[in-house]
Amino acid sequence: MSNQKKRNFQIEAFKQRVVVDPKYADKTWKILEHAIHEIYNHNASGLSFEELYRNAYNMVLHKYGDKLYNGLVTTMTFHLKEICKSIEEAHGGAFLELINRKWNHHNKALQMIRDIVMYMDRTYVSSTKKTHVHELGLHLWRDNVVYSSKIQTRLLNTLLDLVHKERTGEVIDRLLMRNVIKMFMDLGESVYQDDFEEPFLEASAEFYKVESQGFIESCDCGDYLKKAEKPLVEEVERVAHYLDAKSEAKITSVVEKEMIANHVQRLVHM
Amino acid sequence: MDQEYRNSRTSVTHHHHHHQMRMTVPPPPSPQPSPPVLPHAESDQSTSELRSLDCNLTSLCDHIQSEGFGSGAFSDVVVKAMGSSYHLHRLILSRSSYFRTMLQGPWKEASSPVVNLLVDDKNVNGDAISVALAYLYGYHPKLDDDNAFRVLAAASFLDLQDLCAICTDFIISELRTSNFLAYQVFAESQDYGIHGERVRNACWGYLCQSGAVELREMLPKLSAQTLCALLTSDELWVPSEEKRFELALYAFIANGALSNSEYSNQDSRFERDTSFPLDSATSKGKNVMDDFSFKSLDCKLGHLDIEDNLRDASDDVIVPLAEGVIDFQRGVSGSNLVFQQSPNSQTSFGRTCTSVVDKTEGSGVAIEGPSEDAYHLSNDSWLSGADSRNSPTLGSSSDGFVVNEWGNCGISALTWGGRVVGTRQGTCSGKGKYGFTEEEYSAFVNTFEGGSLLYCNMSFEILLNARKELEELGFPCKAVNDGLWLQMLLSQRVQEVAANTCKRCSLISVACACKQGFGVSHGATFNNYYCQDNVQNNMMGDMENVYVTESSQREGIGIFKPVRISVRGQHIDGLAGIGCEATFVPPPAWPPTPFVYSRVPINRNGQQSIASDGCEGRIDQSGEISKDGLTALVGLSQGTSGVGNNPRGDQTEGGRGSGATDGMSEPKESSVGTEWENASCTISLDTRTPLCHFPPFRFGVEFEDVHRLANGHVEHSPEFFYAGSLWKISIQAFNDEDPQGRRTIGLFLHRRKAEIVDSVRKVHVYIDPRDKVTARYQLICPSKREVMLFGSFKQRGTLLPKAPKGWGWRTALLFDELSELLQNGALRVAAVVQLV
Repeated sequence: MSNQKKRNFQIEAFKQRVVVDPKYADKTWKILEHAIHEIYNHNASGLSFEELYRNAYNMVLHKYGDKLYNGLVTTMTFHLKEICKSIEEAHGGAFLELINRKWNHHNKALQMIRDIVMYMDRTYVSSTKKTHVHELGLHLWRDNVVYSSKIQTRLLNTLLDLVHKERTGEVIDRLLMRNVIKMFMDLGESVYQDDFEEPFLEASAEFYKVESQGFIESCDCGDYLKKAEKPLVEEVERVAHYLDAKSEAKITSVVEKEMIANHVQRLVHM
Repeated sequence: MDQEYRNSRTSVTHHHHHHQMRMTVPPPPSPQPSPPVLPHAESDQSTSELRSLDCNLTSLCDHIQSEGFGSGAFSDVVVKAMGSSYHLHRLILSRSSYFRTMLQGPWKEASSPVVNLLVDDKNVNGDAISVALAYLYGYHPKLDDDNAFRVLAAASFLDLQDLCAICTDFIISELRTSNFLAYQVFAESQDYGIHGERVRNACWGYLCQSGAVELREMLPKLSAQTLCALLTSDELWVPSEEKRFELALYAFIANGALSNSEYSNQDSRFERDTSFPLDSATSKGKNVMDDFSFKSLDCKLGHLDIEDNLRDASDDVIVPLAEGVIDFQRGVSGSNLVFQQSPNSQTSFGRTCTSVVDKTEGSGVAIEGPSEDAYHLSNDSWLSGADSRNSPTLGSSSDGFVVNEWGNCGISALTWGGRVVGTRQGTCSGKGKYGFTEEEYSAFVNTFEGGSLLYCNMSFEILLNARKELEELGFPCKAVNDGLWLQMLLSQRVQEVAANTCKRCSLISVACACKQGFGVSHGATFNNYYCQDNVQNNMMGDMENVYVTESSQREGIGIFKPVRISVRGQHIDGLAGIGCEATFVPPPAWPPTPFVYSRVPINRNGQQSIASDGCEGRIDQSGEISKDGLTALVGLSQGTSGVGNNPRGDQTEGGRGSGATDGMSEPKESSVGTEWENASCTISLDTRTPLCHFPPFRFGVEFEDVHRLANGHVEHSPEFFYAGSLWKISIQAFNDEDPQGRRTIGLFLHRRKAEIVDSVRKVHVYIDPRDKVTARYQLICPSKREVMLFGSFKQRGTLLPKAPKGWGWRTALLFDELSELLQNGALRVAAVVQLV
């Protein structure tokens, strides 16, 4: 017993200088960085969880959590910028398709990265009150891709354009719409509301203003009301297919306002 | 069987959950049949069905443990770790999120029949892995002192949070003097997340509780940062501020010695005997010193190239070996001297090591600037004649160096007064890296000079002693000097406030509506006098510039008039933090003493002013006019016959200084408003400073055999003097205070006006004649379990009841929990009190 006690005391070097190789942190980080590159480059199948988790664990254990976290941010940012570039280069219909594909891939990569740095997420991130890795990945995607100057407007216009097409009778890829709009929702309620829902409602108001003007010139009251009912049904259906359920009330009120309320005087006196 | 099954269908869900919790089975995945529940179960049925359920679960457990873990039956994965192979089961392993992720993710291991774990945390061994894997199979871990932290490390790696918690609980409950250091280092040097933090907190609580006594020998082995946090913390239980100072000094010196010995590969001696008796320590210390002398001389021979660090001054710096040798001898003689002089203060072991520190560092960069002459004068006066012979005067060649370095904030930390104490890493190249790193050193400087040791609450004699000790170590002693002034100022303020306080309502005169005479009704004035018993002292009756030296009153007693001091603005002149902004014509020698108590953490910028302190004082000695009263005073006392030997001198200067300030302009209230808590600023104090801007007073008391305290019985601590009052803590046992009927211990603070009986203390004892005073206070019970805090310094203050009543918490502690809070049966309470 006393022998064992002695052994205990050997672990307590008097100074707590970490005795590891000074280049230890760099070396370890290189391994992890390489893995992240592989993950983003679709080369993940051969990666060893045991090795990567252990290295990330050791970095945090030896108090290099800061380096790990910052490295993670840098590397992920790098890849997201690459992704952003490739999306920018996409033409026409491929644009939305590519965003969706890259988004899905980013999510898978993020899940793997999160698994690798599980310990950092539990200890370092919690104790330093930083953003957890999952949320961090979403923020980075939002800031580097969705909010990228060459993508943000184009993305919104593409979506609104598709909605417009659908309203005018064209058939669109609703699944793709649903996935991309789901991305906005995943990025946070405020992203969905500010960057999609609001412009969508404005565009809808504009659309139905014009629409109703045309109807009211050409129909009597009964026909008009029938025509006004159709968009209501369509919009509710649209919400069900690819929008957030909370948008239903908002879009119906927009339609009602544009189709009925704004013309109520005229309809009554028709 | 059928019957049994039906019975079990009547089971109540709670039972299921209960078992699940005990076995820490994670919540089942969603597509799973919900446990069979029928709404009404008769009690006799449920008992038998519970038994059969229990039975079933037990047999399942047994099966999994013996067949699964024991024989590896139906194993579908092999885990290899630390040289062992375990034939295990994915289903069971997936209880750990580590294995779950590994075995189901897109990873190489997911499809592999063998998983190799290369655990490279040195705290983990094969046994610990085995315990952790067995835990997944439902085995309860068998923990002891040797494996608890290893199992914790393994469980942390495998992400078994429950097992981590079990290990931490064990470690905390088993924390003792013998294993404290191991656990402290374990938790401090690696990041084991919340579990490491729990161990750290327990160690901290234990350290606060026992650091001044049982764990004292451990202090030098703590990291400098931890040590300094401890020594400056209110949570550290230590009987008095002077004991705290002694403890800090001991830790500093012994820590330095350890650093050195570590460097010179002598560490085994220290590593093994962490608690050698003090007697033998002396000789050991000497051995170390001897060994070390050769090594360091070697080192010097090889590495005198200190120019790198001295930058622009490098040209002037030449340290011949011979001088190094002389310096060394001086170091030795100095240490001998200290043995004679301070028998009560430190272990002689520590003292010897001072000289090791001093010498080795000093010989590396033994630069002695102009102030050094003055220093040596005073130093010599303490040394015997024979010793002083050896004092080298390395002299004039390095003038520029000292000044430059102060200006440059470079290594000035290491060269106060021309003496070099600590050194940065790399001051001597290669081999010469001994002693403290700069970081460690500055941590210590912060401890002694950063304002966290409350020198103002030490008695004058002890302050003198502290000053001497610190000077020998090369510290600037600014905080000590300030402490003395604070003490004086506080006594003035307390008496002034008391005189202005209504006897009936305990409110200050402005707020009082009683229209009664005020507290001290001898018609005198609000003059502050400082005399033995605080009786009417009418000779001070006017506001004239009266200055009385009452030599009959004994050494050290000055009589200070109320000092009207110009409060400085933002300007800080860098002279020991004590300003010289005069708004009047300075009298011949002593400008006013506007008071600044600096809590600026000592950093590179701070060092500048500190360094100047010694310098100014000494320059003053050589005939220059010092810019302020305090340093001048210090200089004088040094120049005569050593600190404390000429109290008349002190008194005269102090008196004159204060008298001279009489005609000064009114202080501005605004500049007084700095909060004490604001650690990063400078606090200006003058005769109008509110009491709550003075540093608080700390003391620590201990109650033996607390658990034997009978209901209703009270135990009182000794009393401590602070701010004209006597303070104590009492505890009382209650059985009728807790709403749940548990026995409790109350914790109370008592205050009464001071009375002067103790002849030793009369030098600085004065009386606050008020019956009630307002104070804010905190009572702190540090323990392994937690550091319990009662009260807060955020509160505005409590009007304490008239003695003998106390004020506090009647249900502070529960008897049931006492065992976790006591140290050898004793309850230690640290108190922090501040008049407001």
